[in-house]
Amino acid sequence: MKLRELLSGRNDFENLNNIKKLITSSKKYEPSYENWKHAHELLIFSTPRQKTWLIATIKRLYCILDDVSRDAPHIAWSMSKESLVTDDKVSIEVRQHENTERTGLIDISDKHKSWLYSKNLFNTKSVEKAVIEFIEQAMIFTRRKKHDIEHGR
Amino acid sequence: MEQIKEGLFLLLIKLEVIPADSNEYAVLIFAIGCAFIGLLAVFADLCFYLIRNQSLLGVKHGYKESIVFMVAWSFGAFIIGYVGQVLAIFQVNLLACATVGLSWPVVFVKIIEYLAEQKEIQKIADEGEQ
Repeated sequence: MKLRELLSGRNDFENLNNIKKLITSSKKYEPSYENWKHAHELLIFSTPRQKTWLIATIKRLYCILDDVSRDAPHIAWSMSKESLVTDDKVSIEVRQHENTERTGLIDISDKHKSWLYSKNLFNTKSVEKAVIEFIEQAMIFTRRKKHDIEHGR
Repeated sequence: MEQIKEGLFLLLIKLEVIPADSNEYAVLIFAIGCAFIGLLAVFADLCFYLIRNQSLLGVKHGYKESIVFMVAWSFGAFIIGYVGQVLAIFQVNLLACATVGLSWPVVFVKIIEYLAEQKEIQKIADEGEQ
């Protein structure tokens, strides 16, 4: 850490619209299938200094870290729907581990391990359940709904 | 002793960066530099107080109070300068010295917050896109 990082940084976090819009900068973003405006969001980690967002479209799950000591938020990783969903079911394992009184660690598949989450954001349901449901909502139910609308059901 | 004197001359007069590998007393030189700037800060505050009857550092200046405050402020700057070097936060240059010397209580609070939050800071990683 440098002195500049210790003392300076942005005053505030990026707003949700800009966080969602950031996914369009991904090389993997497919504008013909994905629409950032309709992307689903799940905030998993929040401190006065950092926020971690999961942003999901019907095709891809993005993890965005917004750190106010940095110039701008950035996409830490992303995963395609194919690696997350099989036969209309979420096929990856989501596991949580203890960290501190206020935070825990979450593994989202074997590829993205030990991401911090804030316990106070998951009071009503476990973080594992919330992430699984979030992926289902964005990638399975949204697609079904779209399909139903297209077929006039 | 010669190395410390030379280092302080380079740092405070010639405004040069002292790399740790060129002077084995770089940490001490930096801490002394912080204390020196701290001393100047309190002295400047005393001048401001005499001119405007107001202290920017919130000190009620007087013979004894000013001396005690100068010693305490400089000593605090010395310690925070040293701790900052241990944590590799500062480069040994006059800008960092001035930052610590003038605002070491703020830097101190930030360092404490930083250390307390260490287990709650998400490492900035780029794990790629699959």
